[in-house]
Amino acid sequence: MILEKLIVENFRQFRGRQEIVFSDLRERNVTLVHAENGFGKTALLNALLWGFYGYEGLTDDVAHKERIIHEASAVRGARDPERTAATVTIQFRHEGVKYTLTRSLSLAVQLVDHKKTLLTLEVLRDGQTLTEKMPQAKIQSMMPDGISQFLFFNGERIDHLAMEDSAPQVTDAIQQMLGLKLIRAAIDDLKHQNVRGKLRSDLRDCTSDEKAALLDEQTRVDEQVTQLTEKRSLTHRNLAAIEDDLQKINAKLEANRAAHELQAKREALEKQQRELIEREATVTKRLGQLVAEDGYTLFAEGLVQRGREIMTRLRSENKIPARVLNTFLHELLERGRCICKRHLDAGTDERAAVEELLTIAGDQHFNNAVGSLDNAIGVIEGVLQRTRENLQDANRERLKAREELVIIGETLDDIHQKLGSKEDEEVHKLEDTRHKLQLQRDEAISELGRIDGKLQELAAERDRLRDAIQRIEDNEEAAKRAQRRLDSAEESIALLERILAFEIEDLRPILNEEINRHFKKIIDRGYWAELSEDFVLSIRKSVSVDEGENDHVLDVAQSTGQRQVTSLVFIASLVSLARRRAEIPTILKGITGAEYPMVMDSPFGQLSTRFREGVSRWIPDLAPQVVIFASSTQYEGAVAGVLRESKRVGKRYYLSYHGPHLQPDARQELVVEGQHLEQYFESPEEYTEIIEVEA
Amino acid sequence: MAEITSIPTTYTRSQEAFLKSAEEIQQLVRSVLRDERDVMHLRRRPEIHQKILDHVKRIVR
Repeated sequence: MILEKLIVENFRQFRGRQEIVFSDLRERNVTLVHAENGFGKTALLNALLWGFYGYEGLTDDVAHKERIIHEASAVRGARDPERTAATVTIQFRHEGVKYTLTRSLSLAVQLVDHKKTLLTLEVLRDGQTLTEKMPQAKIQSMMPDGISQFLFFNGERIDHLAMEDSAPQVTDAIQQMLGLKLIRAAIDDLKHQNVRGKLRSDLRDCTSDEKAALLDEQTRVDEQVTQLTEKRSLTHRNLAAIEDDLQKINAKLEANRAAHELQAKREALEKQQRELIEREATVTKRLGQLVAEDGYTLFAEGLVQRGREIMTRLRSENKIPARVLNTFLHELLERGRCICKRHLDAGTDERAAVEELLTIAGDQHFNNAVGSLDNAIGVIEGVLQRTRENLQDANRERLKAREELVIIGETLDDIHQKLGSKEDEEVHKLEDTRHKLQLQRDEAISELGRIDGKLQELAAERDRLRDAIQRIEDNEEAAKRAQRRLDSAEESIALLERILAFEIEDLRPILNEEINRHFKKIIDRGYWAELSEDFVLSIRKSVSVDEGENDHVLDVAQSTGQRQVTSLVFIASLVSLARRRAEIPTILKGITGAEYPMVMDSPFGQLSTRFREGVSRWIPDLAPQVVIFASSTQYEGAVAGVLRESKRVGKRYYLSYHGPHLQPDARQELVVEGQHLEQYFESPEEYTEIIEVEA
Repeated sequence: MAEITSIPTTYTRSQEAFLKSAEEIQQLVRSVLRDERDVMHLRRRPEIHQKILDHVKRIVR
């Protein structure tokens, strides 16, 4: 999909008709929209989302979603509510075909049901304009709403993807973007009450009372699983929202003069805390490996000592090594001749002397066994010594990490006490809110643990019930058939779940290559980005511990900016793989590659200068078409320099804001490419205009 | 690009899992996926459950 033009009419803060023509040139594929905070960046992003998906597409940060029509225009048009409307028109190309989408909402409808919009989708084919009969379904087939969150997003709000507890969102993103949603939908529908529930109730109606009772029990377990799964996904969403709020509070504390120093110290300590927790987990894992692989040597210590004593005693008794072997003496006796050429005939003193030697002779096998035992004892002693040292080292390291964690915990508590007791009322309130949010976060994490534990229990219970149900043989043919049908549905679900897991797992290394390829374009400092086996996105680094030892790989405790970059890289990798999806093996037939634009509000928001430079150099290669909204502070400096140099900006606009107040961090004048542009005009009525910056 | 095109054209793990399952299950999964493909992006799809039930009843006799 390539966006060609967006026309907004009385949508949110855009008064009258405003338009943007997007750059569709491959070599200059960036459309840049300059907009200060409060000027309408979010509204512009939402104009696209509302156009494609209606009310359901609006992002969470849109206030008063029921007020779609420009407020002052709605007041003025109150007398003619049928003809007063908000309209969004999007012209785009998809797979070589041109489309014009128009969504509108009249004031008359907004007052009754603001979700009920009017949508038309026209297709220009062979010089003729046709109207799609099911426009929303057509849009969904071209760009499902599940993937829109990865194509149209606020750059400052995507960092949650790179958080440890975001694995469900990450796997969902992979499913959505890489065409695996089909398998997920099939699983969900097979599990649905109208399918599996109906098959179970069919069986219940014709089976024995005993089996019917088990089936009822199974239904109850399934209901609990459904409720808990929903609760888990809600808790995950809540956790992401809490983390988001926490970051905002942190930013406010950091910006506050009275709290700045302590907050900066706290952030550094929390970063250290995360690193130590990671280190402790790594050491604990290493300890587990050591115990599993070489731990037996510690228990064998007594045995080794006993073996060593026996060896010493045998040596002192001259039994090992044997001075003469019994096999050799038997050979002489058999031959009847000694090596000194004397005859060893029966009854001779010579033969008796050799026979006497047999009583002190050693056995060849015994000799070999003793030699091996001696060797093994030596090896075990070596491993034992090494294991003991390694365990001591690891324990020492773990203890040190724990001690440091205690100190950090105490220092963090001290900072909390100091900030909470500040006379500055704002700091006090912020600290109080922060503390509440932290408690909520802890509760959410515990809740997730409890839910996962309960789900595991229920899964085991479900398996037990399924086996018990299958063991009870039915007599009636109808019941036997109903059981077979239920079993087939269950087997199909299990097979599809296995297939989905394999498909996602097999995509992981391919995705990782892509992620790293993108990541290296932004930062190359011995770090790499990785999607772990449990689908956690992280930045990793290699740490050398001792000379000669293997390096340890550690997670880098990420700042908000780093998480934003990692998330951005992940999304870019998905978009890039979606483009060449047809080349990646899959069980699903007919999955073709698809091109999508990326529209990003404030992609440089939380980034440090170093990241801004890397991201702006890389951003034009993210997708065939890139649309960026950026404020003056986000744009100037590194971003402006790199984009100017790369010559990838094909179209440039700015939002001109008219309103009673200018936000404190917004500028009245925009300076872009040497041009000074007035972008704020004081006005009692609030509205925004879109103006093109002429090259 | 090379790392992806160089993947051998043997069966993937999911293809193997599918082929190892009983013919009846393969048939059912194929039918369900075929119907889902048409409606998976729709928010309302009231007929899909009945269609799946019909497939189960047709295939498993």
